[in-house]
Amino acid sequence: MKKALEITLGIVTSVGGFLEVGSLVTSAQAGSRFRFSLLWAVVLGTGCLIFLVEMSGRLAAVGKHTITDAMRERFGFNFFVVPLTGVALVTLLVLAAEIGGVCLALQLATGIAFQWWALPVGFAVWLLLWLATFGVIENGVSLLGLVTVAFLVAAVRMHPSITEVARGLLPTLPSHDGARYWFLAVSILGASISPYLFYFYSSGAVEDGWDESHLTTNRLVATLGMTFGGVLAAAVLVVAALVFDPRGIRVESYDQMGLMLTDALGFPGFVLFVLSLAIACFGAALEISLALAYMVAQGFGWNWGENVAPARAARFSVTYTVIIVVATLVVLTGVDPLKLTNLSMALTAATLPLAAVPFLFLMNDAAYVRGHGNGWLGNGVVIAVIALAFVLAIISIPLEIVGG
Amino acid sequence: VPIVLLALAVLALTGCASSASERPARTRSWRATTIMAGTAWLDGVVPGVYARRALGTANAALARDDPDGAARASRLRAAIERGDRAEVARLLER
Repeated sequence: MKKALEITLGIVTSVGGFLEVGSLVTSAQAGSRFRFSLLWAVVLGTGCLIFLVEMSGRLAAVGKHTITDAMRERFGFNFFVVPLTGVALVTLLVLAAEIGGVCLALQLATGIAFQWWALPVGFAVWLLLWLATFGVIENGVSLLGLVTVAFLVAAVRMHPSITEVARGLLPTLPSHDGARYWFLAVSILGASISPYLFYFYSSGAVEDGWDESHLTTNRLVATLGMTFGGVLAAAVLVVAALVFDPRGIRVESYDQMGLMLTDALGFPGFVLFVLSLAIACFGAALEISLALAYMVAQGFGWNWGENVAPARAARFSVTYTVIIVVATLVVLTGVDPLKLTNLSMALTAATLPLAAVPFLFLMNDAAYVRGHGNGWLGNGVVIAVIALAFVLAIISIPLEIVGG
Repeated sequence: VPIVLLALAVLALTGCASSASERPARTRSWRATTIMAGTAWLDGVVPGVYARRALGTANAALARDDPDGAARASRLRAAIERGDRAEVARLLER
């Protein structure tokens, strides 16, 4: 019974925590411009994420190592510092985009320019990290994130053509705006396979004291939680396609996105959109701040843990404090949050090889995963993800410049 | 790595201006946004504070390529600010 509750809670929090600024924006842009034809990118990204998250949890449960820990130990600090720097810088931009997303939600609700909200939002993120335990952050905010199910409700109420949706699940060549199409495909993949997700997941598994008895929980949470989360991202794309494409609206601004749910849900739809944006981005900002602090603290061998009092993990606490201050300053400069989101998703795709390659070694090293190493399917998927990651790394920046 | 990423970030953030071929579609998109935001306010599905903001953004986006569209967004915004439903309906041709 306790196990079933744990699995249910894990799945529910994965669903509630899945949508964030990147998946919301890239799905909305894709739907408004290319109807359902980029649904395949959401499916592909979610599929890759399921495998990588499951492996992160397995590594933590069996080997008692987070991904970062194991990377530093297995490859040495001199190698480790390269992915640390690349992934940390890009993730910092993603954090700025998430804080910007919360500020934008407040702007939609109040009309007060988003920059004015940067300091209060940054402070709220920091305060919650300072005061709360891992459980509160993981469960509390993710449960609130279930408000994003509104997109699925709206998608169902708008009766999309099942045939057209099914056609979108198969990759097709674009009939127009090729550069923009591929840029959005790359951005959707970057938003789906964000390295911070599996760094956060493996650190969380260690914080929650997972062992080999949690392997089934891990498999179910990774598979079902991420699948349902992917369905939500697909629902955003479907709603955007049905609302914006017939009117000829191409999403270029959060101000347009505020109208997404009103066709299906009326005024409550507007409120639900604002709440979804605010809660999803706030939850993601908490997770990213923690994931970055985990990465740095584990990389340098410092004491770490959200369940530890800040004074007992002082350098860990200082790290997330500095990270939040820097990200808040980026938002304060007034940089266009939508451009920042697009850029950070493309750069996430560009740094994906740094995050994906270590999985191939770690998940086949008996010192870390004992008898629970990858089988042929797991290794096949990791190799495919690495190949995809290298392609994305090569094309993402040129596409950002040409099609962004 | 940090310098390359920073340089690319600056390039990408500053290099995304819409090309000439994109302009007609962009203009159509913001005109449609103007109508959708105004209609949504008239139907009571969005608050005035949001509609005004969206119309302000539409006005700024249309200012260069479509002065008429920008002017309509501006007039709609002013009418919503006054709470003048009749004027909003007239501007939306409803």
